[in-house]
Amino acid sequence: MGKYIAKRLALAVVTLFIILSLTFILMKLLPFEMPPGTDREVFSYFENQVYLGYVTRFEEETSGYGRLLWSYRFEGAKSTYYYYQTPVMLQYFYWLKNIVTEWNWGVSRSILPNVSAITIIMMRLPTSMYLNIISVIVSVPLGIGLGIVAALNKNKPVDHFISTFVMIFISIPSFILITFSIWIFAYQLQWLPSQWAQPTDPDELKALSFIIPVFALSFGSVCGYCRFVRAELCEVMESEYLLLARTKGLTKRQAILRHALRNAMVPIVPAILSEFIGILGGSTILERLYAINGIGGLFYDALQWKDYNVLFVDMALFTTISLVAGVFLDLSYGLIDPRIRMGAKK
Amino acid sequence: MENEEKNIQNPVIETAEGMNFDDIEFTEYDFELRHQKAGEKIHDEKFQTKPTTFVKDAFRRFCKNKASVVGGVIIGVLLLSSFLSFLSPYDITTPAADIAKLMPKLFDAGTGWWDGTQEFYNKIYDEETKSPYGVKMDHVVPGTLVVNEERQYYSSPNEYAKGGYYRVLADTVLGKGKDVIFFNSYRKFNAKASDELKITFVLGDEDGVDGKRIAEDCTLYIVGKDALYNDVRLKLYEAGKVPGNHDVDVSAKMTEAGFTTIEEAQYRFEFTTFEDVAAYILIESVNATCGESASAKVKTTLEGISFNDANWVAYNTTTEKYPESYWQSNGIRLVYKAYAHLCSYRYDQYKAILGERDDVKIGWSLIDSYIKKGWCEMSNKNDVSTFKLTHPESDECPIRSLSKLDPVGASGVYQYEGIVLYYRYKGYSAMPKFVFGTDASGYDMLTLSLSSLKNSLFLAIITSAICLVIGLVWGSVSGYFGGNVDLFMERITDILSGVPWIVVMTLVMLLLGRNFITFGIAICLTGWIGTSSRTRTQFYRFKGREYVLASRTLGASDARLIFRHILPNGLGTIVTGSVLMIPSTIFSEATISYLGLGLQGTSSFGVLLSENQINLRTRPALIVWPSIIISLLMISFNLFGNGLRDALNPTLKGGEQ
Repeated sequence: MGKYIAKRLALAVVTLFIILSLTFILMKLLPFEMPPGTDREVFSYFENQVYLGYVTRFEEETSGYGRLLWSYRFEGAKSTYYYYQTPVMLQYFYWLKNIVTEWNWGVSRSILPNVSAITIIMMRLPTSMYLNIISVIVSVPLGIGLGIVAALNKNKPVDHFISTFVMIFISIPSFILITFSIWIFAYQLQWLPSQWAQPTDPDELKALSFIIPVFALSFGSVCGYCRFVRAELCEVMESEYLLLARTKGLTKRQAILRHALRNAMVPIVPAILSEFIGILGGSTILERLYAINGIGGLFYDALQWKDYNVLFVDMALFTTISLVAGVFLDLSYGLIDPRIRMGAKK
Repeated sequence: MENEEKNIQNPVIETAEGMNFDDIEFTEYDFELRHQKAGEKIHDEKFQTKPTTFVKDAFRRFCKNKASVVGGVIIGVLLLSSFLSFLSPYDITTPAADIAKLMPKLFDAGTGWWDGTQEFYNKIYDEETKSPYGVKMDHVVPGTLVVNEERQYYSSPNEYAKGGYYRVLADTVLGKGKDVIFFNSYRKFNAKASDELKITFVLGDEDGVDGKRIAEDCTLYIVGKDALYNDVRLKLYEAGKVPGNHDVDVSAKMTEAGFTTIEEAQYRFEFTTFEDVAAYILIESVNATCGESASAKVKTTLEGISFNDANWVAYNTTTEKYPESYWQSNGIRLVYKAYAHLCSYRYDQYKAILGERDDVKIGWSLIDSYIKKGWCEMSNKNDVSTFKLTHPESDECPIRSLSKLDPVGASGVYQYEGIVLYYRYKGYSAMPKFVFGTDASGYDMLTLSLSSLKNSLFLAIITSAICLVIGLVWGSVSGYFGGNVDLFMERITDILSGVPWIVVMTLVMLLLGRNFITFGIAICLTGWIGTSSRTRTQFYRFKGREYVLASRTLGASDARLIFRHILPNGLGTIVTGSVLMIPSTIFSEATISYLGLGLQGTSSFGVLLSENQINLRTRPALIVWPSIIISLLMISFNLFGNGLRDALNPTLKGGEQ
């Protein structure tokens, strides 16, 4: 088992490395964007890029390095600095070196000029995390509860109602749910704020502004869990060991609680666990539509502001989260369900 | 069937008990060759039951699932209508700002629902025109105008407000304890005691919400020059801060004081400011009158300084419509508590914008083109009264009447004013009904939605087909051959599927531009992975089965095993997955549009939704209807996909007869 875990983790790290390398090279192939601001600020940005190795500085115009990015001459200085882009593959090696030696992921170009991308991510992370934690706390019990109710009332009106509801809401795209809840609850009924509360707003408004995002985030997973639990529990309910339990004299309640539910939960728990890793990520669409300053909104902002460094680090975070969640999901199947031997041969 | 075959292949020779075969001699005549019988051939017996094919059986089972059939029908209707969207009479290529953001209309105005009218609340009611402020009563749906009795107060002069008080406020420059004077310096008049001069003024008494207070004293004087040209200052009335009507008989007061005439007379109100706060007086109205004997000049002067509507005076003074204020003061003059009523009404946008309008400028060439069509006549281009409709009873001519001619410049360019039937002017044969309203560019939302849906569906179907092919080949090879081939191929899909799709899309759109083909490439880049892994799973499931082994033993080739034995069994799941990829592609496209990386130059559903997001508050119909269409499509695809999966599952074949 330990060997298998190590193997899976190593594989995930290699995959991550390849993905990030490819993404980095592709991002560097995008046209260079000039940073905004005064000459002084631009100069400090360029010097930082030179330090990191992404831009090369010459004291005279040079050919063979592509387009001249920028030139600058200090007042009273003897020579002018000419900045050119370092060849992409060299940039790639410098990038690896920077990360390995000093964990330096570069600085922002335009969102918060000359601030490290990691710092920006860290600033934006808490909001997304709060939202995700709350929505997991809301959606897991609700989804499982609905699923159990549906399964125990299989083919009765309650089940039909829940199943239809789940089927409809699992099909509707999330951005439509968000749009409709903003339209109905914020604009029509005016019960809830139409966007995320600012830090200066009163606490009551802050609390209210959690409702739509949490609803939007948890609705999909409530439906997902409900469908999953219903399917699992229905299968378990028809199994022979449950019949045996009933024959032994257990009441229906005891049989369900002690035998059916426990077994039905086996495939569901890993899904919940991996969702906790997803807490670190943010929903891009939701955060854009509801003006939330989170990690997903950062993706949109970085795209709008053409801040490719921040965009890259945000992408790297999303990729890492999805990979780690995948590994975790696989591993926890084996840990929770003893019947599954992970990595076993045929 | 199989038994019959056996019977024919191994016919049982029935022999009598105890007979010895050696004893019997067979000659060739003992046998008859059945084939040689004229015209007779041996055949397997035909099926008595109706034969069925896989497709027919699947279709029959699909039809049993009512929900899926409904889903399929909805998809069909949406597909058909989106491909027929070019038949729509409404243009969605040239922007028309004049008909932008119209309300949805399905029924005639006055139905109260979905009729192109818009409900307005708390709008200002104009008592002059007896209609909501700035709105023609014609454009208000009859019977929907409700005027609130409650007054809405304004403390600055307004075009639409009424009444209130003229508030004469001590200037800050004036200092404390000084007199503030309100007087008609521009309109001095010759006051004769014989002219029955009277003045009535109405005062208000209210401390201001801004902390300023009503003055304790308010005294009315008449000042001027007497016969010897000495200054006269005659106190007429001391009102104090008593509110209400104050009548003063000026002639009587003058006679009492011994004046017959005061020349260059003016009325003046005086009051003193407080030590600590600024003081003011509130004058609701002033009514200065004189008898019949007074000269016309005096009469007009007194009329000019009388006012009943403080707001009107204040407003017209500030906007310079009232060239000189008849009343002057050395303090600040403002209006206080001018009021307006609020009202609610339904506004008929279609009638206002597309109905008969009088604010459209008409050029001669347009009139000329209508004359050539025989819709109207106009014998003299310089005389609007010669304009005549050919068929006044029909609405064929967009110009209903001409009222005014404005020569523009000297070069004989003419511009006319008149009443224009706007929907005819725009080229519609009847009042259009935009069922979903129009968007910010004046496009019919229904046509636009359907045509965007067409593009989105087209894109989604093409990409799904491509992904199906790639995924099928990749998954089959990887699943069938297994081993190192599988290991290597799986690593590639691992890496590709490890990148979140949004990252892939963003990168491709940034690198290659935002067009139709790029988007297709971006989707296909990772879209096939789902199909491939489903195919691979199916291959792993079936390739070890006995029937495959049996076929292999009989010498079947790899291709035969793949295409005849394994693939048909897994096809249901694989095809269903590909069908469900269509809505998810539409979803991806919409998501990427919300990020501002949507398709450029092609109307697609995602672009449509994300562009109209900003209109959510003011024109919800623009986002609600397309949302409903896409949700309906998604739900239908899900239902359809589920039905398809069951129908294509060969293990359920022939079941549930």
